[in-house]
Amino acid sequence: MWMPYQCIERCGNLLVAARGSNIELFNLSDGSFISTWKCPTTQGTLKAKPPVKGTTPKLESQDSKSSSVDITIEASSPPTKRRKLSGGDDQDKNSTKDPKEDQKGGQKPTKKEKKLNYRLDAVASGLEAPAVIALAVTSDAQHVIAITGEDKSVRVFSLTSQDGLTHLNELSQRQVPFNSFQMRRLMKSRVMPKRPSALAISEDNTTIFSADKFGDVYSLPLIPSLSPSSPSSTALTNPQNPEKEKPFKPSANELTIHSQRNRKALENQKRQKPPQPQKSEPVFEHTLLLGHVSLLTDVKLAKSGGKNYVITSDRDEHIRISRGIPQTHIIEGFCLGHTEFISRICIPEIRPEILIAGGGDDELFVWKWEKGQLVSKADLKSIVQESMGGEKVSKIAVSHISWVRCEQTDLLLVTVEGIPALFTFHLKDDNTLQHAQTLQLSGNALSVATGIAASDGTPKRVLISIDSTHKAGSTTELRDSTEELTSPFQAFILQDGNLAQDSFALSVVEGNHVSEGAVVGLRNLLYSLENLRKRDGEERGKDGENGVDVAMGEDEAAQIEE
Amino acid sequence: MAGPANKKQKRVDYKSAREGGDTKELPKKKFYRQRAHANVFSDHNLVYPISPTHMDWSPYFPAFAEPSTTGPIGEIEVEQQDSGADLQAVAAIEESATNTGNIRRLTKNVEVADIGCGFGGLLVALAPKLPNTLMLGMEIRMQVAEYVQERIQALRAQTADDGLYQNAACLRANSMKFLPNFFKKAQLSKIFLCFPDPHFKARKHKARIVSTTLNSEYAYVVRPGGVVYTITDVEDLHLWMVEHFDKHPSFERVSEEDQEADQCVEVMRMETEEGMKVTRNNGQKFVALFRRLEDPPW
Repeated sequence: MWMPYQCIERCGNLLVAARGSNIELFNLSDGSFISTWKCPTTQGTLKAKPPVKGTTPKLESQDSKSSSVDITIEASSPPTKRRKLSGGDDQDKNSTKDPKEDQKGGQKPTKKEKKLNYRLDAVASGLEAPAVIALAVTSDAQHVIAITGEDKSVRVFSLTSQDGLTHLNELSQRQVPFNSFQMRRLMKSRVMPKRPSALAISEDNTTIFSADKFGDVYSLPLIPSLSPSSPSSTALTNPQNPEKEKPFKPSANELTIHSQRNRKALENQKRQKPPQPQKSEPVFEHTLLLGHVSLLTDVKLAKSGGKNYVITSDRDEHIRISRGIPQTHIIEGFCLGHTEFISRICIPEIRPEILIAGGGDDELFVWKWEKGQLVSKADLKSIVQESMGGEKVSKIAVSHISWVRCEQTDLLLVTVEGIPALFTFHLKDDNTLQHAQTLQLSGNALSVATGIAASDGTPKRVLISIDSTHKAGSTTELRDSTEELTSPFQAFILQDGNLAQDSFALSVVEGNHVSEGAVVGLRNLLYSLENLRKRDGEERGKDGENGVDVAMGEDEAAQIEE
Repeated sequence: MAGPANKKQKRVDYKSAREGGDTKELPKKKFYRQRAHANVFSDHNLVYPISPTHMDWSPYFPAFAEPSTTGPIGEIEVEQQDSGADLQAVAAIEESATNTGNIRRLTKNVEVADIGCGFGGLLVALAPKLPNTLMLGMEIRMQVAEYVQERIQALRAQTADDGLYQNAACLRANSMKFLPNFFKKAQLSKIFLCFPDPHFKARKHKARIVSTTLNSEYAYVVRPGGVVYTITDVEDLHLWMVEHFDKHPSFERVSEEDQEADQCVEVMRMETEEGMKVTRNNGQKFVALFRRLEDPPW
């Protein structure tokens, strides 16, 4: 089984397709394969477990060396020089891990080890390198931005030509002064405080908005500034912890604690050597814009009356409308009406006042976002059920919504997690949605790319990546060898306001094979949305006395652990 | 463990004994105690309205409900007795987003929120002082919220002739997540954050009730000119709260002079359960008030 493509994006006439931890480029004019960027492996993973996935023989020697230099993420570049530079990395990496050690005075050292293993297990669960979980492309098609999940990194690539082939060239945070042997680059991703879950790029292609699983939205300059500036401080940057400057002092004192045991704990704490304060903030320029106390699932930038807005959706049924930079701290309103998590929001270019949202609800919601007004709802679950031949579908999770325009018709393309079909809806003039087509696919839909030029030059083509590993309609059962897909992509073309099958094909190179050990990791990578659903906890049974986090998703639990 | 089972049974017995009759007897705290910390990131099987317009406040403030044709007020009160608070909210959730027709409106809106109201000391002290202002306690611990509901119920029954405590109510909610589900933009004039969980560990700081990002939500529900009241016995937390509110462009610190002139401050210091406890232990109390500013033009 080949590794499937979990996210695809169009970049000019190129297709950027993330496959596990690699990103491949295809030419969309002739479907030819161009190049691959491989996410460097992390040493930690290798130590934690033997590679679980068949490694590619093409792995450059440089790469394999680099992976043993240190834990951080760097792409191919001569190892000699890098060691020096990785000092900064080290610090960075520690800093993401160590804040939790702060103020932990009396903890035994084993705790730290345990935590570390935790993380390594997470990384090692499926892939040898962090998997790409989101892609974005600047509107000028000059840059590609990718999030790699396990290392929480935002990576920016420029498209460069080398040997007549286009390559993804990862931009560094800092430019290295170059010598004769070294290209002017340093591969260094920006490691965010928490794992990002969605991306947006400002209209002028200068700023990245990164929404994370901890509920915060950060802005980062697309091109990191040359000098390693200190973290910028704007309105919402969390103030530096005062403890950093002054000698360690427990937050509690004799007057705030009242029990014998707490008093003892405080005495112990006072005797303890204070932990060396660690700098917990990443060193690159990033600005905290806003935050939910929930897991963010999507972020979009919108415009109304010449003003900018940031729209964020979360697991707790909220769609929040905040002002744009520099007033992101002001909440303009909410779109409240969903009863399950929201996973995707979409603003049609041609109707910027409208927002279509979907998630764990049975319906798609159409909002006038500025007023928080619900315009219409369209049933999706029954259509999904129909597509599965009437098989009972108890829950759906929308995995993609995008808008395309064909002549005078506005179409919305919708996919649902673990469902081998593409659903199209007409967005009517009165902003209602009408189901148009259900297009059966040869496997579960994973990602959708639109606006691809057809042979006549009009951007009419739509490309869908298909899960080549799981059985169609299942997120758990793997395909038999007899059911191998001919291609992990399916193409459609817009005709008269509808989608029709298209013969366009990409010449996919054999990718990495998915080994058995990677199956669980792969499933988590491809089908994570349903985990957002709230489960009925056992709290009632426990009489609510403990307030334990029974219903917390694994992911969320892991985030909080960090 | 025999202990807890026994305790549980006693609680059940106690609560079922209270049920039904319009008891004037105040509830006993010992039957409602619950561990002081709750994880604000977990789901907790919470019940909350889809949006403020879906919220049926009438069971909470029956005396302020608009006269309706569906039935006399008494009927609703009975409904509230059998854990009706939750049922009502469930009903609100089941309603479709467009149909909010059969919710009984109040003659006025809730204007004061005591976030993390605990055992309700502030509410009970403040309610007679501001008899025409509706105030709501929000508490994440189910047992404790239930206690406050019972307490208010009993106080209402005790003072039936004067009609006191009709303006106070409590519900179980995670206000860090769902504040905008209960309150419309600029609905509140006062928010109280009294003796919140200090969450000493650095990695727990996101769970603190005050953070720059969360302050945006307080700014959303509080009207310009409204005030957020904070009090704590932990100096570190006090500094943290001051720092984060000061940093937030939507708030400014209220001057010491105005602060001491505010009658709510004294109530907050002396009448909250936690405040009294701190007094008993000769602890310190740190107070800070923050005024919501007008939003700049956009």
